[in-house]
Amino acid sequence: MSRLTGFLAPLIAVLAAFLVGAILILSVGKDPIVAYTALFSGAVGDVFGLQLKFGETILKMTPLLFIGLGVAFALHCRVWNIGAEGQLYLGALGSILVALQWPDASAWFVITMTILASFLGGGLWAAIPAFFKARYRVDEIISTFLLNFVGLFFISYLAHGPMRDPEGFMPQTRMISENAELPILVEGTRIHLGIAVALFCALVIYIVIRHTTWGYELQAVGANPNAARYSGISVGKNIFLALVVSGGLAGLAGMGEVQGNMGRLTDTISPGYGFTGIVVAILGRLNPIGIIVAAFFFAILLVGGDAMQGAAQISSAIIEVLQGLIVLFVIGSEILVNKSFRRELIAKLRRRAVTEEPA
Amino acid sequence: MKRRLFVVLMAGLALALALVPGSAVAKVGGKFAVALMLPGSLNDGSWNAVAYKAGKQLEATLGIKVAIQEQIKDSDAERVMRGYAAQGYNLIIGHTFNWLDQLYKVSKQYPKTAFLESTGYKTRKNFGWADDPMYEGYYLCGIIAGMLTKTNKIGGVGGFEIPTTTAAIEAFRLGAQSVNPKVKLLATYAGSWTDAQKGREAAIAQIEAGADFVMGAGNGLTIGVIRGVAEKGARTFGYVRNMSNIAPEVVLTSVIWDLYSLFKEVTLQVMHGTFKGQRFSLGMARGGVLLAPYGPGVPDNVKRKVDEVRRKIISGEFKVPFVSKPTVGGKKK
Repeated sequence: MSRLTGFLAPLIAVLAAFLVGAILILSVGKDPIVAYTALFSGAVGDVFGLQLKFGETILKMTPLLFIGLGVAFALHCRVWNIGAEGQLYLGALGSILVALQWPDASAWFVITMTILASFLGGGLWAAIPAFFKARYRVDEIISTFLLNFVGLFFISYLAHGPMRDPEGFMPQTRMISENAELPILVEGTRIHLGIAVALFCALVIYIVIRHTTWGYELQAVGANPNAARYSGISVGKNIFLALVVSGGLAGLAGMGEVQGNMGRLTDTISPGYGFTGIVVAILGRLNPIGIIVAAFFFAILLVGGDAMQGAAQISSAIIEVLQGLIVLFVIGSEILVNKSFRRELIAKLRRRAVTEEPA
Repeated sequence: MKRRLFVVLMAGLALALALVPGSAVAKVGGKFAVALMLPGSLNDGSWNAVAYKAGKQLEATLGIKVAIQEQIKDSDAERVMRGYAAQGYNLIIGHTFNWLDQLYKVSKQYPKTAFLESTGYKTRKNFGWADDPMYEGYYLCGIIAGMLTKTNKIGGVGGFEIPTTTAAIEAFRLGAQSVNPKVKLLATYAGSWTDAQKGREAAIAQIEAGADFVMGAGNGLTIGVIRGVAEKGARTFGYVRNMSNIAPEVVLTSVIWDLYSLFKEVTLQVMHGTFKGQRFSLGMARGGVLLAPYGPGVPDNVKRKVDEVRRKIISGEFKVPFVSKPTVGGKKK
């Protein structure tokens, strides 16, 4: 598959989704041009200083990037991590436990510890399904997905009970102290260290996948586990590590939300990043650069959705429909881009043409 | 060569997006503007729906701009309120207890903007909160239940044990016990404002434990409670708006919160520059809380007793106790 096709396919998918979305918007009697302009300008436009809205888009992009990278990393090994949502929450737990433990320590110390703790939290949560897949071939799609609920209920239990803020009444933990807040990178916005960490992770992953033996092994196992085993590569170990690293990255997303956005652990810190991140990974074609762009794009969709609601008087549901359409079209484009499928399709059509010719 | 083309195309796309002009997004201009932020769906039939109607009414009667956004998630709340503040909105209303932190933080950075939270407990010079006065109405509902119960057991299903919800359920108990000291309260805090199924199950559980009057405090939750009550033949009360249309035979009355009067009062204060961050109490005495017209089967002596106590509340002779910690149900501290 040529690089250009690889780039065009998701782009065309997105455009097709927007086209269908425009038809939907027209069908409820609203103007799609107004809606889409509001969508994009609301996310990156120049309304009240480029900084504010753009900053919010970067803020939204951070967890999507972490999770997209994580899901893509595992996918190189043909491992589907559908549990990023739960891993995010467990990572957030690691983060808040550490942050609340050292309210007076230096910021550098606390933040380094929270990065480690959240990676560990998400990674450990992923280690459970990873072990069962590596050892007993338990399908990771089901196990990671189900563990989402276990993770969320666990966090919910903690937030309602043992970890509840004694001063408040809502199911949330105490607020982190200033030393644990992720430092702001751009004055006047809420862009925090998280995006820098995420971009760094993207770089590391790029290097690992492209230029290390481990990366090669991961892809070998993903491409053909039997052949990999015959050449001496440990299939189980690679599957395990792939999923654990994926979980760790999702955990980092949790850290970003706790220390860069909400300031506490609650049971609502993620509006589904764990699932949107999967679409980001696919849209970005598992390529770190592609994922950065895809995460940015999705952040625009989510942030711009508010502006679209206000400016064009459209229900917020349209954004969710657009997201769904993008998923459908991207998966559809995958099918068309897949060379062997294309070949078969053309062959079938040719055969049909031959048999339909007048005798 | 292809890779470079790819990168150039991507960069071009990003740049193009960044240069899109912002003219389409609503700007406030010189007009007085209020932003109403709703956590749930404006179709939910109670908490959010009533606020939405109040906002629309505000726009119509005062001739000002009222921007209403629904379905705002907790993780997006700060961004949305900053957006409104930066656009120059004069008053931002956060219609939920969940956004206390965010409103408190953002109000510090935008001292010229007024902020109001529907239920809360912290204030700042430009950030106030309105208490949810429905507990006064639930005291009266308790009187109805206390006088009509045959089992001396009543139930309350709330979303979370935050003070206003607890106060409503406890007031229900106090009202009932004021006319019938033998009444016992069953209370469940379901852990969700919107889960109707949970509400229904909690109500049914309480009815099976002997309650013949069950009240609900939560938007979707109460609708589920009413359904559960209707299934089991007990009696109930509506929440925030008149809910008798859901199950007319079992809804004896509803506690209505007049959000429009609250929003109007606060808006006028902001317009005249007299807004101070404080606790706004528009209770029964100021018409902030009303009871809906009675459903079937409420005898005259009950109505008379309710009127008598209602008069005392309005005149200030009697103050309904605000019990913020649950005596029944909830977590053991």
